[in-house]
Amino acid sequence: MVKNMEKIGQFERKIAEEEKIEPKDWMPDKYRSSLIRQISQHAHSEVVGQLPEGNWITRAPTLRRKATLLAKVQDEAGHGLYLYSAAETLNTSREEMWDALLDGSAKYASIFNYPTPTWADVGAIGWLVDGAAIVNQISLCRTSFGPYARAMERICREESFHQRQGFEIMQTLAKGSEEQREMAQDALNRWWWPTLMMFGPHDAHSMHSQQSMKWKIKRQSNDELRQQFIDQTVEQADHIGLTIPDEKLKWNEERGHYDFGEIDWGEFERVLMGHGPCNQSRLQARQKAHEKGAWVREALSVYTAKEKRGDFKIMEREAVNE
Amino acid sequence: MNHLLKYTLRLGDNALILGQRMSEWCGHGPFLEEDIAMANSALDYVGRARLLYTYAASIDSVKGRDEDFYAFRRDEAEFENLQICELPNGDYAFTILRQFLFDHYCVLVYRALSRFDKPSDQLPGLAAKIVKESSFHLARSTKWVQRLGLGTIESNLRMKRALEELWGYTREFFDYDETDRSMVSIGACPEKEKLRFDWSNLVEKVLFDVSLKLPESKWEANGGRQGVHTEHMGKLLAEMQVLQRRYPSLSW
Repeated sequence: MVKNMEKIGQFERKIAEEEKIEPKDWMPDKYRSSLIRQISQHAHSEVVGQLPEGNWITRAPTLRRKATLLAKVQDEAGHGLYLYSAAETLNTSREEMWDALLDGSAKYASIFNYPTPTWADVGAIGWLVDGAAIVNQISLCRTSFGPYARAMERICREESFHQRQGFEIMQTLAKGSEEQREMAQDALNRWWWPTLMMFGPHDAHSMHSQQSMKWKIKRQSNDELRQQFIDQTVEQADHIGLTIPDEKLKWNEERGHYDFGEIDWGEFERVLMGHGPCNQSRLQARQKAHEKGAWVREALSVYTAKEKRGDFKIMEREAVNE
Repeated sequence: MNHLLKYTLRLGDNALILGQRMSEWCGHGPFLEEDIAMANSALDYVGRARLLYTYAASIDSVKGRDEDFYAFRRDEAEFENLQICELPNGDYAFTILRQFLFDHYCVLVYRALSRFDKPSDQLPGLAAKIVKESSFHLARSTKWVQRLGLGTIESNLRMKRALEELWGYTREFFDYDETDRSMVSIGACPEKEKLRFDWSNLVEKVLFDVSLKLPESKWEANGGRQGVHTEHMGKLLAEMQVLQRRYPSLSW
């Protein structure tokens, strides 16, 4: 008992002194399970997030856009890989996490349950969704768990390129033809509110927030981060001449921030509970790829085992003897 | 159209059309590392098409063309890629085997082009870069042919089927026309029989080692170099070119 108290004391001292917690350090079970939940959700979001933009790779309007989009979607898969690896240091396995994604028990960012009907959606995702992700992830670079913080630093560097390419697509459309401008405005109208929902419920209603803040897994509250995103994005929208679809959006001199309208939390809940436009198709796409790849993974593992056993060397020798 | 331009565009078309097919795997690969690797190879192919088209634009007698003109504003009959590049992806065995057969063809063709002695021209340099990339692709696809050929009964069976479907399309590699012959004459393209010999040697050895027998079918594809395509090509282009066709002459 005394020993346990000592461990807790040491853990809390590290947190208080901004020392990173590393995989070999002792940590409370709940700290471990919170991190596994959060990091694996984040990883799942990256790989499900490949799908909405992936929808436009084969139809990108120029070769430069095609190459950039392909590289970007590939980066997202790479981010998934770092994050699964970071989570694995907490004593879970990729298979377990992947199974939880496929059977629907794990969550991923709800934003990816919205469809990408036009090319402007690719711009909007880069600009808004990646923009919101960066605000959140910059904050997470200071998270208390070492492997997660380091994965975030690397991811943030790449995400800022993604955000820029998205903004550039929107900017090009906004100053293009009437049809292109409409396409851009329509995408902004559809993505704005779901993007604000990415930061999660109001602080007062956030289930996991308080404990996570105490353990410094989370460094800033949902509402703080959301406000930061809005403040920086309003000016960007103005700059390219698009209108944010919120009549209540207004600079508040006293607060030094923009005031904004109320988020439709009913929609947030519906999508979270599985009733968004693409919840079913995103999960099915992942399941289908997994099922279709089963024989490939099996062949790979059988081959690798044979190779380790030296089967192929025997075959080579036999071939020479013949 | 002069032969050098025609030859360059054909190489660009092969790269773009196969790159387009490979990119369809992005987000749908059999596992995460392989998803990333396939997307990365697709990116190499698209990048290669851009280099070749940009070079083509610089020697095209019609001025003002660029990479996007060749990719998005030409019709099916103007694309002169080999038909093997446009076939739908099929299963992973089909995809991997096609890469293997085609990667090896690329190594041989681009190696000859990289040795093309044309002072102050950038094409040999481009080709040298592509040879390096293709050699890497070939090492990767060869390893996969071994894994799938020698993995399980199912993977071997799938490889057999893929080989039967693909083999006739590889005959097009050696279906030389006047343009190829003209490139051979200036030392920028392997002689047909030499290409056939070198390609068959390595391919047949790798396939033999993984217990894959060459198909007996005598059917041979032809016509890609003359703009004749399979029924799949029209759909591929309809998808790829949709925005440029729907909204002509805009910036994106």
